[in-house]
Amino acid sequence: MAGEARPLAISGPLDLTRPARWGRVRRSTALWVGAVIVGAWALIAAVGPLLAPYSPLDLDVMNRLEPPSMRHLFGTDESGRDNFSRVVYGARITIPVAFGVIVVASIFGVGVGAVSGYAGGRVDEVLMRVVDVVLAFPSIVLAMAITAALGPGLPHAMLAIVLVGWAEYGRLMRGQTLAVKANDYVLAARALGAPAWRVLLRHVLPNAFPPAVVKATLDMGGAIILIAALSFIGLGAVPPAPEWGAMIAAGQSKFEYWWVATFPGLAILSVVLGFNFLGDGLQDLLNPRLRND
Amino acid sequence: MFLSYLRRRLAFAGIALFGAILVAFLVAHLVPADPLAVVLSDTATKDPSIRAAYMKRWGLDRPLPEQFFFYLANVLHGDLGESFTTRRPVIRDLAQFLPVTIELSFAAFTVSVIFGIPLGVWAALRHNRSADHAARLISLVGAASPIFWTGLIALYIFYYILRWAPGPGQLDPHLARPPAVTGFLLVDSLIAGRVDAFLSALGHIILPALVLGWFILGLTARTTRSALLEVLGADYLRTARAKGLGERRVIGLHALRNALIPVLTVAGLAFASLLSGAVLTETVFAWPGIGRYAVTAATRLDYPAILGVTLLTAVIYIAVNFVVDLLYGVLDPRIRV
Repeated sequence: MAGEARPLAISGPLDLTRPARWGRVRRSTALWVGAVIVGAWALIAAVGPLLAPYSPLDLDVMNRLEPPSMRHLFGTDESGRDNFSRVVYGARITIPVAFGVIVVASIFGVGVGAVSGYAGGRVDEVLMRVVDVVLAFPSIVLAMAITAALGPGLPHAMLAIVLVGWAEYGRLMRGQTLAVKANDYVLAARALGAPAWRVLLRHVLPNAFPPAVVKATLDMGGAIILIAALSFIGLGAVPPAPEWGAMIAAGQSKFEYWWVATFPGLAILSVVLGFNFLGDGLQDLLNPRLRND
Repeated sequence: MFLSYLRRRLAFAGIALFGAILVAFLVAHLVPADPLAVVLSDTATKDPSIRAAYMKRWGLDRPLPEQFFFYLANVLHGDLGESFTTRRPVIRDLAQFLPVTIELSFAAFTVSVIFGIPLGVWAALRHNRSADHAARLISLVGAASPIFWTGLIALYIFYYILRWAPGPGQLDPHLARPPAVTGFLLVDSLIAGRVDAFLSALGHIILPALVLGWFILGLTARTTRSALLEVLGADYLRTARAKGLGERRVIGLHALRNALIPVLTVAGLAFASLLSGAVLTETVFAWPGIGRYAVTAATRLDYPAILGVTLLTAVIYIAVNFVVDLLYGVLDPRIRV
């Protein structure tokens, strides 16, 4: 039901006084800013143990809820664990988990969308109705229900996000496949007798998937927030683990100890902002026509 | 022609609804343990007579496809099982908590329109200049902040440090709730003639509404901006200027009026995503709506409650989409074909 009629044609700016490349320079700034932020976080995740002055799990009851200082840059939490080390180690959980979730969800969705668009007819109709139904649920609510049903824990939360997240890729790729399918080279390949799977894999997919890469980059931010949200609620990562959402939950209602929740939140905000910039920049690079201004 | 468009949209909505119930049914069957645990509380599952009655009512002695039709029939009759935590029918809980969420969403929606549309207009008029970039940054940061964290920070600053806002909750603790007539606290306190309750409730809704409104403000601002940019070069604006109208009238009366059509429909869709944002906002602000109900249910593994909320949000989403599709059809006859 949703989807077909969404003709928000947003055309380019009508400002002729400025040369068009200004927009491009600005956008490539977004690309670079995003790449630097994401690169920095990837580095932090990779060399985490070298950066963190303490273990993220070591208790130190004598120094519970210490405010930020030179010894503990981000202070300590209610069990005296070093908050800075926990934020650093958190990157080693959240970023790979989000990456894994997005890779699996996008591959599945791209597959469904490509088959749907290429096959057409009944298959297309059925697959797209399934996509519609999945998209009818607010993602956080359906992910919560699935995780609760499977039992709380990070692996189940990941599975839930995959089950919720693939559908948008399906819809996107179906449209892409339909557009690419109409090209003469696809017709030529079919006329030469290439089997359907070969046409799909060799000719249609390589030309249809770039928008899915852009979407995957933009969705990294959404996946990170969703994982943190599920952990915040208590359905994702289990408490002693240094997961950002769980850390924010631990700092909830401890207003006088503001540092416990503030720093993991800033970590989420910065990494998500990084991926959003990167995705925006990539969008412009791969498809200047889609520039959203 | 419009009738056939309407019929097709209605059929789509029906299929989506059927699918949503099927998904809820399947999720319920993910639960590995006793299938009755999905509808009955712990103590009730031990009583053999209650067990037998429920087995019959939910058709659990039948094969799976047949069970689905029992489930479908029950859901369509409004029977969603019984919550373990509140020990009441889920449908009654939902009826009580949904207005609370709608009230909050509506307030947040108002916030996003009040701030988002002027921000979008400002950005469009200063296209590609620093105001435009600032507006863009505001919406980007809004979209990148985890809403449960923004809520905590807002409470920390405006409640704990500045003492400008009241704490979490819907009402000051010492005030008695006015009798529920509509379920909307602001309306109910006016009906009861309770000015104190009304003012307290108004004070309590502002902070969560700002937090939740910021979440979709970016969408409203960006849509306003691009829609306005699109009409700014239109001939009728040149005409309006040529006949000597002031710039304020040209933008406010002529440009904005045409630009707002896509904004309103996007905002309508955003209303649905507000509902999902409300889930986490309610948790942080101890707001007794369906979001907090769902979170409590999920953490206590109260399956009937969580499935009830899941299904309800899907139904709301499908309904909103249906209305938006119809609006498109009304506003733009080309789509009806």
